[in-house]
Amino acid sequence: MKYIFLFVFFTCSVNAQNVLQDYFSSSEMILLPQTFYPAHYIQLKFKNDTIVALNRKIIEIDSTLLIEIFRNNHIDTVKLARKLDSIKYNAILDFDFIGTDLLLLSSYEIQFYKKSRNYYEHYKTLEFPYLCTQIMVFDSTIICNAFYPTMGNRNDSTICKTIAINTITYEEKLYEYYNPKGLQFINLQPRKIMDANKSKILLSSITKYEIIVYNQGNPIDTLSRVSNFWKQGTSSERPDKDILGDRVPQRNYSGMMDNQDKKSLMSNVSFQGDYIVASWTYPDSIKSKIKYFDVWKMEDNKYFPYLVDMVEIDGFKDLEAKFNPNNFNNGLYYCFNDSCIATVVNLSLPITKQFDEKTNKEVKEINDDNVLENKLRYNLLVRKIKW
Amino acid sequence: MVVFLLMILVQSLNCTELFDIKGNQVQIKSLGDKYFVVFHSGLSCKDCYISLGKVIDDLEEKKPTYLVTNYSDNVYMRKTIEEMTSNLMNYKQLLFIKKNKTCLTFQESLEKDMSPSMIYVSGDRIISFKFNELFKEGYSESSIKELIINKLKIK
Repeated sequence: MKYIFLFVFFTCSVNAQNVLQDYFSSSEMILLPQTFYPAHYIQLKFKNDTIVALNRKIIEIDSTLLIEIFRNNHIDTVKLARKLDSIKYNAILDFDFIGTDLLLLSSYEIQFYKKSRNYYEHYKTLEFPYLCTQIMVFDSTIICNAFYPTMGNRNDSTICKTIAINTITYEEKLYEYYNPKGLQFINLQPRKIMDANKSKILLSSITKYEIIVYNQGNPIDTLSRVSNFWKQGTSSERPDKDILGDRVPQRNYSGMMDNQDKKSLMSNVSFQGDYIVASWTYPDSIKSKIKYFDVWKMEDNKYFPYLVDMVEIDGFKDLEAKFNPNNFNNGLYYCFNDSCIATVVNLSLPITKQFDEKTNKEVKEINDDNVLENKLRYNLLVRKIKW
Repeated sequence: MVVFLLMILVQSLNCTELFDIKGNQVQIKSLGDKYFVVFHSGLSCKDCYISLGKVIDDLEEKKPTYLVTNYSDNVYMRKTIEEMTSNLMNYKQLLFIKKNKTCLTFQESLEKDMSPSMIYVSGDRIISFKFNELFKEGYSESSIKELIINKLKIK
């Protein structure tokens, strides 16, 4: 009897896997403007609990370069400071606000914009010698994170840096970190391995489950755990050495693509209030990767595993099931605030009450027809988190 | 070696399953007798598509061009590829190739080679243009044109 009980208990434990979407509720769908396309040009950020979407695609009208910002169902236009010489369509990398002023991060500089009546107008540019790809503003500090290897920093001892800029004096402080393992896989996007929360920075390895939390440049905690759903690669599978100083081929994508199909890679690490959310891919079979999520909770300034190995299910897989926006996968990019997660989803129609009674199959058919007949559009999905 | 590669291409093309953007199967015979197939596996070199497109448009003997990429079940992916490539080069139709075990060699060459690469089909004759051949260091539209004309022997 005892063995039967143990067998049943074991079987139930194995099958009862945590599903990420079970922790989401009360979703809100907002149809993005038609100009917000394609999805990888859309950058999301919560500001004062409002979700803001930046369309990084640059529009040229009468020699003026414009980009758009969407929030509260309203589009604001930004007149870009000057013609950007770098890759035109990827020139703006991230954004944030100081009060009502807009900050655009463009490779090696921050451009400051003030809201006038109809446009955001440029008033200042701050340059620095590092390729930063993230910008965040906390109180009176601008945080810019750099973790992208370029030809220019091949000989640097470390690529991962934070520039902290005082918003009043513009005084800069530079913090440097050890290069995380598998940094060459940053070329396979989307991938987010750095995040900031006030004075704290987290930096994750890609080929190893190892997230280091820094405060003012000093390591204060290391998040590491063994998961049954983390598949560690062997050294023979690595196309390049993990040390960037040994020159990583810039465009050895085919080797990396083969490689990423064989092992787990960390894909996104983010602060979420007192939590850290980490997600990684598990190579189930060739070309099919399952995404897992862990939530770490802070107690007494240390982080502990709180929810582990949550699997992200394909919300549309069961075609006969009733359509429920909570079940959507997180898209290519997602962001958090203290209580919500926002992502861009492949739905091209405004979601109204008429969808309440429909099945996934019916919604998919309506959506596919709409996509084929019209320009692509996306919905912004904001879900409450209940962990 | 060249003969072997051509044999693979001919064999692969015959067993290839092609689909249009709506997911309807397209018969290879319906593509015509003479045409270019440009393979797309990514847009890491947008200028390459632009230059290649201009050169094909500029050839005296006009032939239709088909852009071929991997099939995706996701309509969004298919539509995104169409919208992102249609302003780079002129093509008659965007076609999607489905993974097929019997066509693995063809599939692998599409995935492994950088894109755009290209083939020219004329009846049973297939001439291939690898990425590295088309876009050598310091390539220009005239170098691409010269290569294509020399290989096709058309002027």
